Amino acid sequence: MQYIQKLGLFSLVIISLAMSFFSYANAPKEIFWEDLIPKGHVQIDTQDQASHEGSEQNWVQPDLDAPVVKELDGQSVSLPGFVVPLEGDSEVITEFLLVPYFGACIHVPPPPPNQIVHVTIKGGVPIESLYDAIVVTGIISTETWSGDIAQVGYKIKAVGVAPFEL
Amino acid sequence: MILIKLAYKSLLNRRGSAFLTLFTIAISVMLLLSIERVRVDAKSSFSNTISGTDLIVGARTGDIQLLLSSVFRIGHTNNGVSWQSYEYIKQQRGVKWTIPLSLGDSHKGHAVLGTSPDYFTHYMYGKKQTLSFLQGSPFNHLNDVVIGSEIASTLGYKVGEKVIISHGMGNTSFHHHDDNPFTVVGILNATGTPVDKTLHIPLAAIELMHGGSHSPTEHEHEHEHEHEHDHNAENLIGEPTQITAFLMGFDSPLYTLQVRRNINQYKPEALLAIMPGVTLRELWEMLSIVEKILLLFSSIVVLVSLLGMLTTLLASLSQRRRELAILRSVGARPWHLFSLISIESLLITLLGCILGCGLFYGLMSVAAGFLQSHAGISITIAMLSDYELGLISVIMAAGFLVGLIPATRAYFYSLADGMSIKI
Amino acid sequence: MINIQRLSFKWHTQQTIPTLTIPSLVIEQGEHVFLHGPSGCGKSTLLSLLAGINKPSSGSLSVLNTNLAQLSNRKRDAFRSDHIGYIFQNFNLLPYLSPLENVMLGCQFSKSRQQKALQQSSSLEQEASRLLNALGLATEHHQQSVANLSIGQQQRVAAARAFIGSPELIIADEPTSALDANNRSAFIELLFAQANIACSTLVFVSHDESLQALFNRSISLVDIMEQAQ
Repeated sequence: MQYIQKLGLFSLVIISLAMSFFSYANAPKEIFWEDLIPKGHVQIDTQDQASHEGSEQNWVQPDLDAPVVKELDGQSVSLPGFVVPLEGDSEVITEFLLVPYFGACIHVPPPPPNQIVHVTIKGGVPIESLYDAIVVTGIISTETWSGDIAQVGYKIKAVGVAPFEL
Repeated sequence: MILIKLAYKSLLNRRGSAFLTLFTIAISVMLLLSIERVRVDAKSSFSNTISGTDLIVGARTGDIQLLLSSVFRIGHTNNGVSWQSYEYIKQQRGVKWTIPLSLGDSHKGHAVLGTSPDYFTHYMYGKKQTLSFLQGSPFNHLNDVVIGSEIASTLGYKVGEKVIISHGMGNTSFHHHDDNPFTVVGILNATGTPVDKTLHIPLAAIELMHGGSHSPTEHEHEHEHEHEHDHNAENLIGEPTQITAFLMGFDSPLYTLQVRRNINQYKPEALLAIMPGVTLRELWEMLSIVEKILLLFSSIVVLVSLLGMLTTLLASLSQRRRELAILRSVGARPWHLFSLISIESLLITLLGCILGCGLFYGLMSVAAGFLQSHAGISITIAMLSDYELGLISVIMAAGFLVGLIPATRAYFYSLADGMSIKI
Repeated sequence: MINIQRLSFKWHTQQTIPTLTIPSLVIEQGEHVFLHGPSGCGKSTLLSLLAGINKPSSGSLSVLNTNLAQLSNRKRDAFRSDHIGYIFQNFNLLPYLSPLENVMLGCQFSKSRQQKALQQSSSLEQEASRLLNALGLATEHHQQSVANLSIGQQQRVAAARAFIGSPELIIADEPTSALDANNRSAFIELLFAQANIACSTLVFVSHDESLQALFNRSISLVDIMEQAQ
């Protein structure tokens, strides 16, 4: 009897440790925009570094030198930012860009590609005001897409969106 | 329960005035539900019109004006995008596809759109749905036209029919391009968007309509027949001096913000690039005050009808003191009488709401066709949405609260009168 | 079953002379009492006290061994609905219910009366119908509109309503005033018959002294009140 009791207690401890480990592992990691830039990389302001292709037309190429942090791929994270809507209907937004500062305004140069996240959320989320910051929680991935040149960028498959509290 | 039966029979006895009150409530409920349904459906229709498009580019007018004129065919742009600028922008890094648009012509009052064959493969609406054909196929020749589903049903066109396109946006025009009849080669499936009311012709055909009077066949023979296929596609787009606007899609949405800025800063021409999702929100924000006013007004109408019920119940109460005394004599307590009047007001409100819903559905069924053809709003004749059910609950609650006033009066009457029957 | 001792009632506490003073009044179970007095002498007031609508200012008023002077408003209302059947002078019936439904109303606010009624017949409708027949209203009138009944017929319905569920006390407040002379005594005899079947006490109030002869006990309210002076 005593032996079985000890075994039971022991397995209970193991299970609760495992559970807390998993829940810890699954708790979204709070990240901020600096974490999206690899350590040591010096981010150059895109506008200053305007490539001179088509300077007559004032065209600034999207920053080619915007590497991503590969280690973040697949992690569960939460990231605050502002919403630039892409897809949705009159009630909810299903796809949007998350940017570090109020990004819908056209007077400000946009952030480089590794400071923009393409967010999708199943079922969509109603967003009242684009002026308010939100926190996106979900699995972040570093995607490569091919076009002219292979490019990398961040994507988050969001599970939750909450207002950002200071 | 005895009280419900008494309330019902009592109302039945006074059915003239009870019905009038009920009917007033029903009308106000119909009004409120109709206004809200049209508002919600209009918003939804608009939101569903364009999807999967990263940027819309046009002359530098205003965000909302560009959105409305290019996608919704509401209003017009006085200026466009030069072909040079279009060619420069479309071959920039990151651009996956573009669709040039040329608006300004009409056929029997319906918009004519000049565009490239990419329109039928890349234009998306709703939840990233591309267009599909009910009959026929996209245009292959310069004088082919693809029509939307509404055009097919209102004008009765079939594949193979010949149509004349006129210049300008009016219903009639004195500038018929009679030398250029078009042939219907395709009918699109219904989308619930302005696409249904549009006739689509190749971009090059617009230029021909306005510029030269070369017949398409003449034009073809001028070229070599080496690159038949390319040559045909080239032919359909042509080289217009200007287009109204164009749509763009990128390899990744991460390009959108930078390209938008580039276009807005574009030196050779004053251009404007908008993100449809963002601009739609601006439109809603602009309209939100109108929406609130509409809701306020229809709510006031409901309130007025409930006050009408209050008046009727209070007026009848003084005549019913005898009735209350009789009920007291058979053992009804004052709170029974309170509940009785309260139940009466609830019954009237409930029946008013039910009749109102019926009238609402009737009105929507009748108006749906009109709203679709004249405003492009597709009304869903579906069950009441959660929001609408919420509105009804609020009306019921308001009716209940209003009914508390005569109920309380009845309570105090019965206390004061006891069983003395005041005639 | 009714025992009144040193009852005093004032409408307002500031009154110097009470509206009603009764030193003693006892009525036994099963009695048929004719309570008379001129208009304005306080008959209605006494009835309202007996029915529990108003509360005595002082003294005791016991009905069925329950002192109504000590009950709260709610309890008096409940008591009335359980034990007392009331017949008004006129305008007794709810115009929007059929005669049958009016009768049924008599026991629908009291569980105990409803149960007693159901002991007599298998359903309330049947019991109401039975009582209407017993009080002289033919079956074809049971579902008619109340407005189409004669005064006499209406009073029979009112009486049936008072009797349904066999309440212990029936109070009739000038119920025959609107009837013509021929029908008066017939109506009263029907009341007696029903009261006897149910072993109920009947208190019949009227200013018409000619009816006195029909009753085996007669009380003059003026005499009782004078005793107080």
